[in-house]
Amino acid sequence: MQLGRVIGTVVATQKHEALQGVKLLIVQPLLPDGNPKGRPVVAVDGTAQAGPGELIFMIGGREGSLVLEKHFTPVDQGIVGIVEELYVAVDAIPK
Amino acid sequence: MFFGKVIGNVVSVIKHKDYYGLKLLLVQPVYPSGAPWQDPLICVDIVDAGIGETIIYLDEGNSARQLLGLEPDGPVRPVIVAVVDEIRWRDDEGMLHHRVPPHEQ
Repeated sequence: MQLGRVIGTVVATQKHEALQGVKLLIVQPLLPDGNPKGRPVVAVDGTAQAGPGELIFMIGGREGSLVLEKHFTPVDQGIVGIVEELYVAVDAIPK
Repeated sequence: MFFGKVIGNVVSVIKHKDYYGLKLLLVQPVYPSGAPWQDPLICVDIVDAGIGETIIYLDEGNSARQLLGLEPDGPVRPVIVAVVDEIRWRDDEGMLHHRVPPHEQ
């Protein structure tokens, strides 16, 4: 699971039927220090409560689609939680 | 399964129902020597690991769901399954190494 910041929303009218009614969000993946890592991705929201500006964690691969009620949806990143608090022990990070 | 080092924790209130009651830790994947290997990731912890400890985590969905007693649709994959006390390995040059990772930072 990776950390990410929700930076926007997506509206798509023509889409796969399994994606009907599903909230799509644009997420910038982050490293634990808050720096961006890689390009923004589109993720589905498994918490139903994530919105732009929020720090979230998401899961990729097959498990990404399992955050939704409907299975076998064509999804590769799913938001599983909103981060309330993040603690990083800087001394513990190996060099 | 992979070696990792616990570098932090994550607190979340609003989350997917299958994550209720689970402990989430930030893990830096490492080589047996302790050098970092990949970008950090968030893992579910079921063995009471703590910050600074070297651990073994797995990144496989079906094993994770079985360990956590979830239905086949549980969206969980990375799970910490062991805290490492001692590592012995042979490197590419054939040298034997021995490392006892500290349990503190």
